Amino acid sequence: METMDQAYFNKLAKQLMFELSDAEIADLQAEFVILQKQIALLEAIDTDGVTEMIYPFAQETTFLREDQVDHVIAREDALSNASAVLAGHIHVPKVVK
Amino acid sequence: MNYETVIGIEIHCELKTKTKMFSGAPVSFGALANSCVNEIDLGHPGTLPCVNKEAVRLAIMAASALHCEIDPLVMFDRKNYYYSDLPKGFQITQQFHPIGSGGYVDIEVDQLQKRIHLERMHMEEDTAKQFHNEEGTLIDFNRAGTPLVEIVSKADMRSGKEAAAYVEKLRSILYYLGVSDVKMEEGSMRCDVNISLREAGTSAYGVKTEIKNLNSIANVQKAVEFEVQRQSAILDQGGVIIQETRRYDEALKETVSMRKKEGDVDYKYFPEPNIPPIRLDAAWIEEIAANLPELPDARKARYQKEYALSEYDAGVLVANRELAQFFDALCKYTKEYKAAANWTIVELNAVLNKENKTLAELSCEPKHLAAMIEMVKAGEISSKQAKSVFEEILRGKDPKQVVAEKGMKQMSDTGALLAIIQAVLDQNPQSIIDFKNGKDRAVGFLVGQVMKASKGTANPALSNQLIKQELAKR
Repeated sequence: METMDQAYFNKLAKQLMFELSDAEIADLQAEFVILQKQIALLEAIDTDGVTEMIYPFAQETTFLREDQVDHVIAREDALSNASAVLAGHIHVPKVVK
Repeated sequence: MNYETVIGIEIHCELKTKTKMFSGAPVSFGALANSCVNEIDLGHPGTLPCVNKEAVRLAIMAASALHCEIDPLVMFDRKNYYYSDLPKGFQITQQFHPIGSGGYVDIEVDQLQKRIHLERMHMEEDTAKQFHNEEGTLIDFNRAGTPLVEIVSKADMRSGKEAAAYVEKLRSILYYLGVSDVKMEEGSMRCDVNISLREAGTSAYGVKTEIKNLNSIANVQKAVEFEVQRQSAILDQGGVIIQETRRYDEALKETVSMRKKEGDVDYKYFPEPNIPPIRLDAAWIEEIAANLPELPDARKARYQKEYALSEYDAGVLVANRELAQFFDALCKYTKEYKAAANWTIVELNAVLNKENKTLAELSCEPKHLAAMIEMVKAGEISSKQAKSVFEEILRGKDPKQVVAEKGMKQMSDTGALLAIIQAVLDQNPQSIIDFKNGKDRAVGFLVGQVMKASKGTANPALSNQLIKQELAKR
């Protein structure tokens, strides 16, 4: 388990390539303390012998969709939520993996 | 030190469907950016994925052809990572229940057969395509959600040649199945190669590097060979290999570091709750597996057995499915299989390459080419004439009509030929002397003169025979 200290948040900010102020780190640390307490409450629940539930209905299905074009949205609608558009493309700050 | 190269390859291959893996938006290459998407591809809240039946069918075909064990229960998982090519923040893949497990691909390198085992084959969705420029990144979501299969080999390959042979064989199998366009240059087949070295005779794996996005089979071999040299040099100098992702720079002809890998990334995989497990009908799977198209190895063997083609000719034909299909069609109209193979491999292929066209773009009918081959065999036209008839066949013309229109009938009338031969012999006394002195080449020269005098219409075989007969009399 990582220690949620200032160095840890600085490392994350560097990896994700954004700036993080000391004040923001302090806020995040406070939030994580609350989060860790909530997780501790969840971890205290005895789940031995309880099967995990992933699907709302524990039964198999058989349906597969036919390969037919049934819905495509207009280009302007596809781009309408983008904060920046350039040459029909969504334009975002450069982050190279 | 003597090192052993250890290579494993991951191949992503786009499936040839009309619509996306989980949405009814169209799949298209080269369409206007962001014009082939819907809310599911864009990861809008509240949308639900729905599995494409055709993508599953194509994946079963590929898994069957690669001898994988097929899981009849289709389940998907989420691979979580945050990047601008992935609007949902996770990719839907099959981490825990791949549709295909195990399997193998047989390759041949330097006349030696080798079996490359597969780890798995799973279905997943492609990401959006990104273009990086100085100002930022441009995103086209047309590719987002395109159905993919990822085929993961075991680390069975030991050289660049083996790696290239494996990718080539896999590409050929998928191409013959018709499950994918397998165009590496267009990205419908993408290849990531993992390479490490270890001291010969040891079993522990060395530190590996991954070479991403190789866009041709030739580059797979070149990249591996460069990387082996690079890693060997580092190890020989007592250095250590850094685990990293590299790319092959075609201009530099070397691999270049892209990013370091600090341990394996934790993608927090978990089952995709929006797609309940789907039980495939066992009879459907069996039907798909039982009706696979003829695969390249089987076709090559058939050409050698049924048509008595050489391994080389059969291999050249099979390497190009279009040519092979044309050859098969040709063989329905003629039993001159060797000639049919030659015309397909040499003349037809040369036209396709020269004009950068596909067979569909030419009007060449197999029955027309077969008829022309039969005419050559029957001595109705010469091989030289056939070449000019062939040019008309490419324009969709019937060879019989071409021959009639151009008056190209081969001269096989003995009397007419003898008249030309006598004249040629009279004009070339030195050739007669040469022949009498044992120079057989003189006959070839005289045949050439007869062909010239007859404007290419003389039957060369008959001319040859008559020239020898007349020479004996002189």
